Amino acid sequence: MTPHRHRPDPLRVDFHLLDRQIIDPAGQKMGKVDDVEFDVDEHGRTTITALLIGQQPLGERIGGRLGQWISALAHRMRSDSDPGPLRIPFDDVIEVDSEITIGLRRELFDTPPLERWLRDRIIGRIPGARDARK
Amino acid sequence: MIGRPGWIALSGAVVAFAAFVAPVVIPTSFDDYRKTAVQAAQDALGQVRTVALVVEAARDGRTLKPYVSQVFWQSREALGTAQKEMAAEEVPDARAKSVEAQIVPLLAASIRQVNAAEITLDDDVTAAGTAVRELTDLGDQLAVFVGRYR
Amino acid sequence: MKRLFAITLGILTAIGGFVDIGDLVANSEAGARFGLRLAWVVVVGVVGICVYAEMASRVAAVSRRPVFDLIRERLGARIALANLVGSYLITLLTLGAEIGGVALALHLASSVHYLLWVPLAAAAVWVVLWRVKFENLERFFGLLGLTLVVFVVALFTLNTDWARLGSELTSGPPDTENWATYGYFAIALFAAAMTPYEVFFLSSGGVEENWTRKDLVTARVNVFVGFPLGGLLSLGVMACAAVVFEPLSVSVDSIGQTTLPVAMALGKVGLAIVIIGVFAATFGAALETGLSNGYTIAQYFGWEWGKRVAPRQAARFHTVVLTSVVLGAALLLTTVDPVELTEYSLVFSAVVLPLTYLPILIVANDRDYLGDQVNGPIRNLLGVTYLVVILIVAIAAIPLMIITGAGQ
Repeated sequence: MTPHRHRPDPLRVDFHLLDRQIIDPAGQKMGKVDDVEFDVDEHGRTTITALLIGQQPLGERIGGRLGQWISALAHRMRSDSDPGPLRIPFDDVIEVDSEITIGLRRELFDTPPLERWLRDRIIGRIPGARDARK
Repeated sequence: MIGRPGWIALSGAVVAFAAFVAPVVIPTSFDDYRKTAVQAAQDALGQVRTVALVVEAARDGRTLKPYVSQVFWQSREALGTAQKEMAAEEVPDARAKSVEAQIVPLLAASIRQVNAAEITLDDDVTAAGTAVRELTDLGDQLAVFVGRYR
Repeated sequence: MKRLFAITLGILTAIGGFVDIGDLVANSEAGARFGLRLAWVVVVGVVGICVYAEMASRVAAVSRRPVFDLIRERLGARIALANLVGSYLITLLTLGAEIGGVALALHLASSVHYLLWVPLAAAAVWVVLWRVKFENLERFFGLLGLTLVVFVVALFTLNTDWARLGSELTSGPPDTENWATYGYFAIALFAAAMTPYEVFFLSSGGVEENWTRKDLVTARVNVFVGFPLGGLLSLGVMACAAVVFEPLSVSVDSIGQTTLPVAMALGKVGLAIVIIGVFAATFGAALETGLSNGYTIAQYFGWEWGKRVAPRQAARFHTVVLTSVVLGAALLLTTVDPVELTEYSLVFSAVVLPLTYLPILIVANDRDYLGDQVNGPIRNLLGVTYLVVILIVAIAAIPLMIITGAGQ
């Protein structure tokens, strides 16, 4: 547990978590909170266990035919080695502000399949893809 | 009862009908014919007078060659479209027939004179004055037509 | 001294960057048909974009979050998705129109058919987006766009009947027009001044350049001085068309006509400058709309975006930008007239305006994001008033388009 973590009190899932940007300690963008994973213990107390990132949970939350379509699209892009949505344990969340900062670097997580595919097949192959332009 | 998809399909069909089917199926009235003719005359008027301005400016050495040729190209395109739209319109009655007898020659003259003006500019800039006068006359005739039938 | 320079540069960039193909087309068409009778709409539109651009830049500087990011947070994933689809399509349409403007400017300069220029112009837009530094890009095209000031110079050189122009300022539609066409052109002018991509671009740029509260002053000066002066260029375009074309009852429907008053007034040099200005204004706007297409989608999904990171690190963002540029060019290759495409992009922009501006107003009132920088009563009064105007414009746009046959 990090001592200086900052979270609003009371924390409202719909207001403070859902659809917020998640960034890593270096400010790199992880994705949005597309869904939240809960756990209910034996006393009936609900705790947040993880934040989920990915088109699949997003599609499921949006619902309807459009949501199904988004989920199906995400599902098709997923390779076997990939376990589905990116899951960030709630214990790794350092700060919930206008952005949600987590304590782990983006490099420690799997690159989302679409990003990886586009990077390897298209963008990464164009000359100059490695240069940042400040 | 129709559901939401039904309503969407229905409104789509209504819009499609209004936009594409209706103009073809419903016969043209004199009023429609008159409107199309006025629109064509107005387009031609715009092109003829624009070309007159450009020819004048070119004569005074105020334009660049590629610019002038682009303006001529654009005006031929616009005049061609106006002529085509006029030709596609059915002539519904005798009154429309008399409108047709006026607008068709005016459009043809517009195309002829715009082409002639371009040739004049290429060959002999000093003759541009005549071209401008002719274009101006034609513009006035088109304006009279528009004023009469608007 | 350095700071003064930065502010001046910012203002000049904002002026040059204000005018795009939509402003050129809408202002010259309206000037030719209505003289200066619709000039007030440009003023109303400029005040509107100032009000909302200031809010968007304040949100960007204080919360460090760009507009589209917050749209999803505030409206929820579902409604924001509908918003995303609308905003993306409009921005794509605008991108197509801007690329068309670049191609038309090149056609005017070279007499090579504009359709041949379309693929080249699109490729150039993409290469510049891929290779060039963000600030350089904005400054270069902004400053080059300043050359459009020749419209204002031309106005004073032409045989301008100032009394007639003055009397038009306060009158309704002329005899040759009616209230429906008057309203239709008013909507196009309003939409041209308040194009949604301007705020997407401004706020994303602010976040990328790491604006803080300190930069807010600069941002405000840019907006409050730069945009009104940019609006003055728009009015110059309108007035030139009013002087040359209105008395002849010639309606403007090409960029060749838009630029003709400058040639008549200032000759070859003026013509060359105005063609460069049109090129710069549309090319700069093509860059902004291309990036904005990437911003909207990436910010909705929370992907990495922007030019601060290597493209490899933002592959999805760069793919969206690339695809959008290709789609925009493809749109033109259907041989749709770029000027007509611009007219439609303006009308449909008008329809989606509330989708962009309502969330900005909501967020600008949210203490969670803005702390003590939330809207005060005057800003809210202006914001709400404009939102009402925007709503009326959005509702009226399509019916007026149908009634007037797209302004004929």
